[in-house]
Amino acid sequence: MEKKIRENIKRANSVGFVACYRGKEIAFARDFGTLAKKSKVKVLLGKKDFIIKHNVPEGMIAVY
Amino acid sequence: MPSIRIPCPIVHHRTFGDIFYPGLKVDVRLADGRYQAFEFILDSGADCTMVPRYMANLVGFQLPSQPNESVSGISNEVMPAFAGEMQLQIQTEQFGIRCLYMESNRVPFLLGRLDFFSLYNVQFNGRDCCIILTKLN
Repeated sequence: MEKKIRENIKRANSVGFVACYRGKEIAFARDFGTLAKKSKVKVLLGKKDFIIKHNVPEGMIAVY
Repeated sequence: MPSIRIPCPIVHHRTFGDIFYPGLKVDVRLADGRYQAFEFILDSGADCTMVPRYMANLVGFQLPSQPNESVSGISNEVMPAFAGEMQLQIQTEQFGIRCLYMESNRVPFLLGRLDFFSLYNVQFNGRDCCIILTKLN
């Protein structure tokens, strides 16, 4: 439980990539290669309602 | 072809409040022919489309042994990249574009001007939070 909370805090403060299936976030990684190699991401590639996004923490200004 | 109207998300900032975010769902053709959805940032300030290096593995693009391009952004840091191409789909419209596969896997998915802005007239509507794409003849 504590590990999960720590992961959520780390995740909330990190720039990275998220994979979402049916509107729910299922995986996060700071780099795209790591995310794309996760087994739960690989099995969903090409499926409807599965999307991969770049993520910037809420409140952080993004300029590209 | 009629215009495509694509709703966009809003991000909230503690100082400035709501900011229109031009995130566009784009389907990328994978090596096996299926399409996978990615959220690209439609970036009129980017010369061309860029994606993280690992995208080349997913789409089956063979990268050269060494980067053959470099990219400079707001930080003046120069990032190595590989010139390539990708097949994309927005809603039912399919098209190919030239792009850069960045050496880094930490760069966002940016949809830039090269090729895309020659295919579509792009209208950003921050008031209604949408992007309107009209195919050019």
